[in-house]
Amino acid sequence: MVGLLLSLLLFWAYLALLSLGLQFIYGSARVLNLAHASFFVLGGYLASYFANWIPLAASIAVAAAAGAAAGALFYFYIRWARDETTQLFLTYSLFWLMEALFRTAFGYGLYNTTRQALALGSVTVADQQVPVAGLIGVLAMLTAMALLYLLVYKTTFGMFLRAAVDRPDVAVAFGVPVERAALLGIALGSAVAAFGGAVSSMWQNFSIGLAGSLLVYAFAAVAISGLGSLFGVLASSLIISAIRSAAVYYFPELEIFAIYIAVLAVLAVRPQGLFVRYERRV
Amino acid sequence: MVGLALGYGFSQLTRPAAEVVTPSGTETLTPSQTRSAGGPKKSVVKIAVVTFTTGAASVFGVPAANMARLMADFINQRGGINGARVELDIRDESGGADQMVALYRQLVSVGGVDVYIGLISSSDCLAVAPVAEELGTTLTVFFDCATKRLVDERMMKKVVFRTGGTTVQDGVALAKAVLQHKPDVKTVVGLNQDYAYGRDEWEDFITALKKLKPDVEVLDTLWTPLFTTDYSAQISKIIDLKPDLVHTSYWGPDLANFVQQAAARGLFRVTTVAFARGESMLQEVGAAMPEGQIVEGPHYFEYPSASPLNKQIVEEYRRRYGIYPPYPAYHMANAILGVKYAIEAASMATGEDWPDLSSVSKVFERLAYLSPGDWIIMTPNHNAARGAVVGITKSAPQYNFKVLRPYQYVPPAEINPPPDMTSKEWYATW
Repeated sequence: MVGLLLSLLLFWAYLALLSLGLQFIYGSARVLNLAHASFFVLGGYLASYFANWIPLAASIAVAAAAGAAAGALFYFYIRWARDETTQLFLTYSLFWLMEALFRTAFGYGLYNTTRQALALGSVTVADQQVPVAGLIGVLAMLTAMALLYLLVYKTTFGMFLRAAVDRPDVAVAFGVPVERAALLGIALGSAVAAFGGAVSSMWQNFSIGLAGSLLVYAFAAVAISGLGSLFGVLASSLIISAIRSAAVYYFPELEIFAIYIAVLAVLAVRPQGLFVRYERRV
Repeated sequence: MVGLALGYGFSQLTRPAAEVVTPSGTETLTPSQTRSAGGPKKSVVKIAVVTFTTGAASVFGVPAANMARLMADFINQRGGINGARVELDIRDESGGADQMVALYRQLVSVGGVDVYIGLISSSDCLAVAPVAEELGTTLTVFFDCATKRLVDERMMKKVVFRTGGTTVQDGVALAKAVLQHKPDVKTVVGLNQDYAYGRDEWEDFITALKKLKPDVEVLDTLWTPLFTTDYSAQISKIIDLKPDLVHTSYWGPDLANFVQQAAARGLFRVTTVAFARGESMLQEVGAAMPEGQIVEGPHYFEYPSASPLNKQIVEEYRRRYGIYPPYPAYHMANAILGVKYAIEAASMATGEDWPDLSSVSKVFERLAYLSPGDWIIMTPNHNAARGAVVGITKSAPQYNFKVLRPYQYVPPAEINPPPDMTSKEWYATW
């Protein structure tokens, strides 16, 4: 039972780290980024690369900073899209562009910080060996979540963000720097994605072709949660993690379908997602 | 005999004679007047090499493509293939089976390739094999894909060959090694990728193991989607079940992710893992791989240790690409050298400057030749009767990854069904 709970916790943290940035960028700039997982992968690559020379924590910080910079560039790129369809085309193109970029920059090898992570050791809880790196992952996810919450709901910048998204015309009239809010929102969301990838490099390898399969998980979390809700994606990650762990434990043949069945069930009953209070119509 | 002659005559009516090859293996190798004469001497032989150069499987494909480049240079420095310079046309295997069929047609019809070497994915091989046989124009060698269906269903008849290993060889060799290393194994959990290759590897391993030790109990079979990045649930369940042995045929990033996560969670303290294709990731996984695990490669860079050819290729590969050649690279060397020796032996046997495809195929199906990793022995069903190296992981001071100490070579005769039997029929005779 402890093992089941532990796997649930670890996968939850991983999934939330993966989908938080996607959700935040949609919530703060109304951009649904099909290249989201590529920013996560960018963070993983960079952290693994720099960890060869600098301490792990510093390399994670470098990866997050690079994610913010890449996010700022992404903002100027996505500004060309004036409607949602163009946005999908542009972000899908970006997905392939970044894939080519990774191939050129990092080659075909596997990148990770497992060596540093294993050196952190483990603690024993009820006969289970719990890796410290995994606990750091959980902590990192919760901290990122808390900081984003405070930023969005307790600061003036957060107020600008929400105003710019909900009523851009009114916000402009009140002197809210709408464009700058979107720029910062996207940069921050991309930094969170890269941070998530950097932290995850402690237990997973980054390699060519990874972004595509990760994107499926991130979208599953966002689809169950509903677009835009920060706490929603935290809860939906937990739900997916619980379904998957239970499937592996009790119906291993179903593992491959479990997540998709959950997504379909939610879409059938509540197409807007479980944690969206009202369906936004323009 | 009458049937054979009749069949031969009939097929001559329906097809150009140059493509006619009887797969039976009953004819002798004497040059025959009924066959069309071979062509004039070639100056260049163009070989298409199709393998994953993008996507997650490029961890496998790129070392193989690198070996193709190395072997082309190696062969060209020694006079080429029957005097012809080898030119490579390396293509990406990504895109799925339909795309591979289209690419095959394009390469052999307008691409001007003389020989096609390729394919890691079993589904790609299963799709390309019938097309290659139907066209019948180009010597086609599958260097890696491991599906037993190619032999069990006799899909390689005229121009298609496979020089790599099969899941039957993997499963039987690994089962034998497991029983040597852990003779009292009672409980097993299977942990494999949820697609044809993963299911075949598990089926062959557990069939062989249960035949050899009927009281073995399977506690659970776990299946994960290809390219999964998180194994925490599977690891938890295995730790709870505490089996004597876990079998996995994971490869590429999945293998690395699983080993690293399992090491962090202490899985290797409660059980031993038998890796059907573990050799390929030993260097990538490095220190995370614990000692005492049972690892099979079809090939392993220290075997055969006494072979000067292996030493030479390993050193050159390492100098060029910075790693010891993993088994996909060895598989590529097997394929290219097979092509070289088949063409040269056919030329010698027929006395033709450039032998036609039917002579090459006839020679290839009973060729035995030295490759860097092993003697490759071809059989009349166009498949290599490969042996396999299995060993136990151990640290060694001069390597920054686990090596196999000790390792053993399981010879072909022990792990291959006779050429006239399917794997299922063969298991039934045990």
